[in-house]
Amino acid sequence: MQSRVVHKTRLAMLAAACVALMAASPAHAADKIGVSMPNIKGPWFTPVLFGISDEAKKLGYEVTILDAGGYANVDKQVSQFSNLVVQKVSAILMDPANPASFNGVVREAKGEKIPVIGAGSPIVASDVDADAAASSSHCNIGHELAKGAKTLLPNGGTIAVLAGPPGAFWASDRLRCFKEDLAGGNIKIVAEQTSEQDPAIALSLANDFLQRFPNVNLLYGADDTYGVGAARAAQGAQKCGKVKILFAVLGEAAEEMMRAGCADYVVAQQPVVIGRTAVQLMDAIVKGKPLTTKKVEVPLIPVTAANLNSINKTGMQAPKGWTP
Amino acid sequence: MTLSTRALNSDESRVKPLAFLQRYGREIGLPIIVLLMVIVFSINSGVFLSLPNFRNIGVSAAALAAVSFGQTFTILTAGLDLSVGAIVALVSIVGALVMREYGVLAGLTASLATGVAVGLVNGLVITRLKVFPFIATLAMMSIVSGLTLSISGGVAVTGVPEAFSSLAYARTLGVPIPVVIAVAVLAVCIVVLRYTKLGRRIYAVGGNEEAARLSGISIGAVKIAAYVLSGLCAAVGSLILTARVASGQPSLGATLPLESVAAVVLGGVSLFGGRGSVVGVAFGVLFISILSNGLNLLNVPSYTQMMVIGGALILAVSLDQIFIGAKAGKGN
Repeated sequence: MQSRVVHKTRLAMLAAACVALMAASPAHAADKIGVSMPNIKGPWFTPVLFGISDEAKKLGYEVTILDAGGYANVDKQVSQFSNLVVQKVSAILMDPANPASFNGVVREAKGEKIPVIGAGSPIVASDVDADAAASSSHCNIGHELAKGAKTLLPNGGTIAVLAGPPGAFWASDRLRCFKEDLAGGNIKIVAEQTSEQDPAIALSLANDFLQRFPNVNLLYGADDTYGVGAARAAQGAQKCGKVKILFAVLGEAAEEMMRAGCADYVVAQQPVVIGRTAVQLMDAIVKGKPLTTKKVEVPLIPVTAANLNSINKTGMQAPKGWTP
Repeated sequence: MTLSTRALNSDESRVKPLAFLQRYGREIGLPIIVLLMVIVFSINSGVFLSLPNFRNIGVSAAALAAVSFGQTFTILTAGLDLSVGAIVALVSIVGALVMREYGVLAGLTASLATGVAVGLVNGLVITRLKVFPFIATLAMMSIVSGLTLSISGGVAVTGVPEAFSSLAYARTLGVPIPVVIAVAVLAVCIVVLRYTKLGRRIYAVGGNEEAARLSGISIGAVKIAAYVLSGLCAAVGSLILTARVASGQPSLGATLPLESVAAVVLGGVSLFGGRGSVVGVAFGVLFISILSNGLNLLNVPSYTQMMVIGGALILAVSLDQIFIGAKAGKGN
């Protein structure tokens, strides 16, 4: 039986909280922008966040970065996005873990007149348009990866696919377009598996592929977390150069593996440029300036050992040691 | 009045804060901490103390609340349900698939039935196969997660009816629907635990299983009921989350096992069973949700938040142990 003392104490606290609540009103954060990402770990997000933070600082914005701690935590990212809306930030830059999940909260943001800009993603929600977006098309990445596969295997061959995180639309889009380009040709996919975006898990998966398919010609990685895992697996099995490694995003570890001869073809995005461009688009919208284009597609750069030293990497990588 | 009586009255009339805290500390400690957190975050964030933010907290907390209330039943029987996160994911996929093909009502039915079914399997494995609850539900977590990924192919199930997904953003009398659902689940759990035979038996089994068995209570039936209720509440939590993300997600609820146990223990329910109240668990949920919301508003990274919640759980269990030790000492 609940004691009267405890019951009265709880009622008093609830009453105090209600009074305080009714007296409150939210503050307006005029120069603050919010960034919502599924993750900040991994060589993709670090340069994007560097691009965003550096450009935002130049333009005089304070940046609040919220990450959900993994692609699996889509509900957490939705809640964090709502937090940014409550904070009445000037704009929200985001990369949705799954666009289908964000229709409701993006509508809430638009209801509060908060622009939502895709940073690294061409869309922010499946049924609600972004106010602007800077990204590389994931399908185009898939097409470029297919070109890379044909370049590396001119006479055909077999591929094992490290497909990326389960349910991540960017990974499935890339793979879909990759497969479309290879359909009907002499390059066959013999294995395909999704896994969490973790270097150790990617390495383990690639090792499993090499064990199961000792004659496989190429390992495909959805991004460099998977690609570097595959490269390390090839290195461990002393198959660098024999098993070709193909993936997207040229981070520092990817560059290292390419110099070691264990990564053969990388479709490099320019995440720093993507971050900067997203902030520039946001700034124009917030200040009411006209946009020449709402969706900016940042070019891809195919990288092999032949051009690794000559390409400009400032758009691809954050300065050494920088962390979000 | 004699001198000794006067002295006795004088002693009794003095405030005895230590005795008060020993008697009521477990019940009012957490609400006081929650209020202190509200004050601290209000001072440090201009938007914390606002109706939109409190609605946000409510909506974010609703699913955790439903899952935690279900977890309470299992912990009261001195068990544990680690499969709640996996149940949430499976129900999300099953519910979304069925809703897409057969409508909202069929989807809701299938979702609740799925939660009950997994809970039933948990209960049977623990009682009939005599597998320790930690192991049984850990294994079930793996099985159910694999099943979910198999059914969904690892991708989200979209095309959930608008009538269902819009519930996550709808309000009644200004209160978000997810909060209304969580409060309804709380009310049902209070009724079950306080006013039904099952509730009394759950406490009895958790308090002293042997004594309960000797007094004629069917231990197996009670434990199975506890896990079924946990599965059912996890299904409700899943429906709230599925509506919020407007799709069936194969990885939904990944953090819920830890968070629900944390909420239950913080709310004063003993991990050794037989003691605690689901109202306390509600405050445990509030603690975690307000903490998470406040830390987000202060821009604290999610990894740090994980450490804070883990630390709070250790603290709560330690205090619980101290309390049990102090009570045992008093009894001796």
